[in-house]
Amino acid sequence: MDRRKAIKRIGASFGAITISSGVISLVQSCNSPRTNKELSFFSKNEINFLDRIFEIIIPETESPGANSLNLSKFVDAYVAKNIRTEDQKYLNVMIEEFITMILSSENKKSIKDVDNKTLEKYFSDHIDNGSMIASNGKNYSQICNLFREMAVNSYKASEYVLINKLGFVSIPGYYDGNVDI
Amino acid sequence: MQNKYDAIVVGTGISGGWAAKELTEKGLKTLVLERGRMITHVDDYHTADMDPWDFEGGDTITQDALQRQPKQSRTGYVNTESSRHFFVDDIDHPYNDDKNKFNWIRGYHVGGRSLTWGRHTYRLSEFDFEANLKDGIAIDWPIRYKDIAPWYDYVEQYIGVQGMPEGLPQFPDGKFLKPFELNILEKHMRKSIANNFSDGRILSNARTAHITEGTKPGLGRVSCQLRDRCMRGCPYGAYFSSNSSTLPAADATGNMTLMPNSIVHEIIYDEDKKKAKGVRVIDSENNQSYEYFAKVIFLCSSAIASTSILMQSKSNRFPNGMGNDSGELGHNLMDHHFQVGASGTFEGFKNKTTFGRKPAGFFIPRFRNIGGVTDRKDFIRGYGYQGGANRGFMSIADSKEELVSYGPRFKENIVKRGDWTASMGAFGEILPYHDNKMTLNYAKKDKWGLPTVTFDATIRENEIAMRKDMKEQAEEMLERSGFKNVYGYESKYVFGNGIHEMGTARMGRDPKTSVLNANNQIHEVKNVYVTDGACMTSAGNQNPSITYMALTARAANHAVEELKKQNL
Repeated sequence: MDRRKAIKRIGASFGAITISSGVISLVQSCNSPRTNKELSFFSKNEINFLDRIFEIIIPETESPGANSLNLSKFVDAYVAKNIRTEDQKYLNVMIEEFITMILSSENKKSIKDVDNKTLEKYFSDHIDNGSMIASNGKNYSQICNLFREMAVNSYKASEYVLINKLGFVSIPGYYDGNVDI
Repeated sequence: MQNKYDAIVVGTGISGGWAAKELTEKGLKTLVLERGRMITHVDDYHTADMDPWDFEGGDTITQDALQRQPKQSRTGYVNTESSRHFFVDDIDHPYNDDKNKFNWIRGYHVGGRSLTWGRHTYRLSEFDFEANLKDGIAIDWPIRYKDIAPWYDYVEQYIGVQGMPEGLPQFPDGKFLKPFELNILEKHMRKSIANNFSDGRILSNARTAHITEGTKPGLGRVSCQLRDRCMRGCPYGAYFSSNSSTLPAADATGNMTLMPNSIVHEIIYDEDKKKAKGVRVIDSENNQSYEYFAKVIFLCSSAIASTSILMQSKSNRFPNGMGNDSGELGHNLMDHHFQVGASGTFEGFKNKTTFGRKPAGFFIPRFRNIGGVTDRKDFIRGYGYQGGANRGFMSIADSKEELVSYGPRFKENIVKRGDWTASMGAFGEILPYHDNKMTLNYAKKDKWGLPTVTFDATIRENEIAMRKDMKEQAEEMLERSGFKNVYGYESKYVFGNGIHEMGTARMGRDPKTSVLNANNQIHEVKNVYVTDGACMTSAGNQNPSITYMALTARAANHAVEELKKQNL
């Protein structure tokens, strides 16, 4: 129950990123020097895994996807700075459990050995599906929904998306309350 | 070091800045004492030009902020990374609220909360000045609207206030700059509310202290650039702050000596001359004590801090604190109760959106208990709503289609415009209850050896009944304006959370029941003026800063006239 509450709180925290002010208020840029910094919270393996999951959710199309925008690095910094310590540990545990379930089902030793199509299948099975039961008898919809919450909110908070997709202007200079779309 | 001046001003926020400006411009050599650090306009606004992506991990209240600022963090918004440096460290500046939780939200630096205030600017009305007398509550104000109206005019013209005249007695018009435009949905709501209610209520433009045309005196103040980053300090000086406006004006006279890091903790009383002669100060950095002397003293360090100084100013004449013959010092603590209202979605105007981020939405002025059909049996006084309408982007839930809850099409959906939404939250009057109070705890001192403040205040039946109506009326106005998914909310209100604490050294006619007279002078110590929120006799429901400014300018004028007559 504590874990469920913790993940809910983390999800709510990420959800609040885009509603904390009149406009979207955060980010990590694909060109930012900060992307070369050491990780703050997740391990390198966890970040590699999150990169793959986030790219499934926000893939590269004619515009940059999750990996090009370094969303996992923003999520890493966000969790380190904003999520309470007692909640953070559940994130590691639930990511680990999700990976373990996939490895066990696929009879693999490393998540690197699981190709993206297979990884997407497991994500697809559990996202928005609270009644899905994995081979080990457990459900992973909560962590999959949290992955999406993290990806979407950090995507909407990225410099590229703010400027190119959401029309963010640093210094608007004027207000117009009746603009045609 | 010079230690004698014509005047001493304690505090540099909304009130202190005005006292400094008025007194120095009228020729008084004035020492301005601020307990916090120096903040220079523009140079010290280090987050003002940061874009959202410049905050690693986001512009949020971090875990570190929660550790150092646990009480400031209770608001949920003031101390995010972009503005936390303008709010106190609760570990270094403790207070006590064990009995009833109280949020004392404040910043210790030159400019005080004038840098972070909400900037909403509404005059009190005659309804407010007459309210206590009419209702038989507490004591009567010693002034009426006509006494302060010219000073509202004076202040508004100096600071710059944008707004729309409406001609309502409970919502007095002022000297306004052109208003920020209501957006298309807000205009629709204005029309709907006017057409669907018979009690005269209106939706108007929120009146705020932003320049929207021309310029105003100060350090290069120009029009708002619609960035919506006001709480970080404005490099354009577009909203009023002491730092951009009144303190530079005082400095320009050559009559001001500004001393940051100076904690005033006592006013020195001259038993022979029966007046104040100076102040005792601790240098916050080296803990040295100093005394400064002047003919007149203006206490402008905010309601709680000014009253705390008076309580610590004990003498043979005033064993219970300066000006406390009435026993009212520290009592009648007020705020505005809020965090109740409603929101909804609007399905029209699909092909419309907005550009720019205006720092003010709409305001629905008081429409309760102003006569006739507006009078209520379940509560007295009134409330107003602040709100706004906007069009955001699709939520995750709205972006999902069948079998499309991630991937390329989902990615396209999440950056599409969502429905228009609007929300409104009410600010209501809290009555001046004698036993809502602050006291000093000498057993628990701060790191300078000064007593800490203890709060004990709650809202009562009148406010609770009012809150029910605040929620219901918000829902009703949205519903009658065609909104869907109308959601009324009421969060638990914590006293002080309105950041409008006031009323601990109230004005009145009778020294037996009040601390200050009609000119903001302590009844028994005429050369001490208290012109911040402490002076308030009732709270009204309006954001109070403009009233503090007007009362300060009025009191400074009085002080100078009295000095000329050698009455002080």
